Amino acid sequence: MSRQLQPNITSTMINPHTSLTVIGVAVGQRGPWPVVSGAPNSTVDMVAPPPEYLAVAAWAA
Amino acid sequence: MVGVAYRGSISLEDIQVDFQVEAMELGHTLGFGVRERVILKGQLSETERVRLERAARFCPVGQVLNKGALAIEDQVHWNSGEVSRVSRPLEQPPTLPGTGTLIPSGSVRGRYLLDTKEYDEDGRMAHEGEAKVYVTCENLTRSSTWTALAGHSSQGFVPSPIPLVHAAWAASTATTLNRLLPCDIEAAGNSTVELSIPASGGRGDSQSNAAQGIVAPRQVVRRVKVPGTPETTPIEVVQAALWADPISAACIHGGTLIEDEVLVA
Repeated sequence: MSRQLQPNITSTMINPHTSLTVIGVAVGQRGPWPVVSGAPNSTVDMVAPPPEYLAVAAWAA
Repeated sequence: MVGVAYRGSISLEDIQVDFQVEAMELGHTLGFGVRERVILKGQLSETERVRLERAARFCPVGQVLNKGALAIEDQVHWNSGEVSRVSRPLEQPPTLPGTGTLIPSGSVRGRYLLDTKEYDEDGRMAHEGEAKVYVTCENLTRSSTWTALAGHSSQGFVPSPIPLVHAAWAASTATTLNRLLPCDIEAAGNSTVELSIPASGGRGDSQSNAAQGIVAPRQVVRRVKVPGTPETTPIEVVQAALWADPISAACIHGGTLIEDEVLVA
C-alpha cells in the first residue's frame, strides 16, 4: 500500500513549541490548507491551540 | 449529522456541539478525554432523536478518536538514509524523559453555519456546509481562544473534518517526537511527519456508516523523519515516542469519550 501513496499531510516544527501542518500537499489534492498548532510549555504562551484541541475541533465540525 | 438528517428526511433545523477537554490516562500514556453535549434544534420524534444520537456516536472523527478506527503502518526514516517499518507496538515501551506533559483543560464549541449549506439545481443538498469552532484552553499566562473553520463545501474553502483530525494527529506526532527524541536541531534537523491516506468511500459512505452505527477502519501510512542514525536514535526510542503521543494513543486505543448527551431544544 505505502509504495503507491503520496503524502496528503505533512507536519514539521517551526520552533520548539509550534508546528506547521499542511493538508493537501500534493498537486491535484484539495487544499493546501495550513494548520498551526502549539505545544503547552513552561516558557512562552502558545500561539495556536494544541493538536488535541484541533482534533476535537474536527470532531465538533 | 446534517447529512444523516437530510438523508433520513429528518427536519433538523440547527445543531450545536460543546466539548469539555481534560487530561486523562489513555492506554499507557497521558492523553485526553472529552465530555460531549450535542443540542439538536427541530421538531424531532424520539426515533429521529435516537437515529441522530447514534450518528453522533459513530461520526467519522469520533470513530478515529474514540473507537480506535485507524489501521496505522509506521515507517521511520533517519536523516542518515536508513528506513525501518514498524507494524507492531512494543509490549514494554521504555519511558522517555519528558513523557507525560499535561494537556490543559478547556472547551471546544462548534456552531453550524446554516447558510453555507449548498443545493444542486434539482434542490438536493450537495454539500452539508461548514461549522465555526471556538477553541478555548489555558495558556501559560492567560486563557486563550482561537477559531477554526471546517466542513464540506464545493469550493473547498476549508478542510473537511477527517483531514483536519489527521492533520491534528500529524501535528501531535511531530510535537511529541520533537519533545522526546534526543535532537540537536542545528546539527541534525528536527523531526517531520507525513501521512498518506488512501481515498475512502466518501461522505456518503461515512454518513451511512454513522447512521447505522458501523465502525469503518481507515488505513494510514505515517512516515516519520527523525534526526541522526539508527545508532544515535534507536528504533525502540522512536517507537516509545510514537506510542507516548496523546493523539496516537487515542487513534489506537479509542476511549476518549468520557460522557455524552444529546438534547433536543
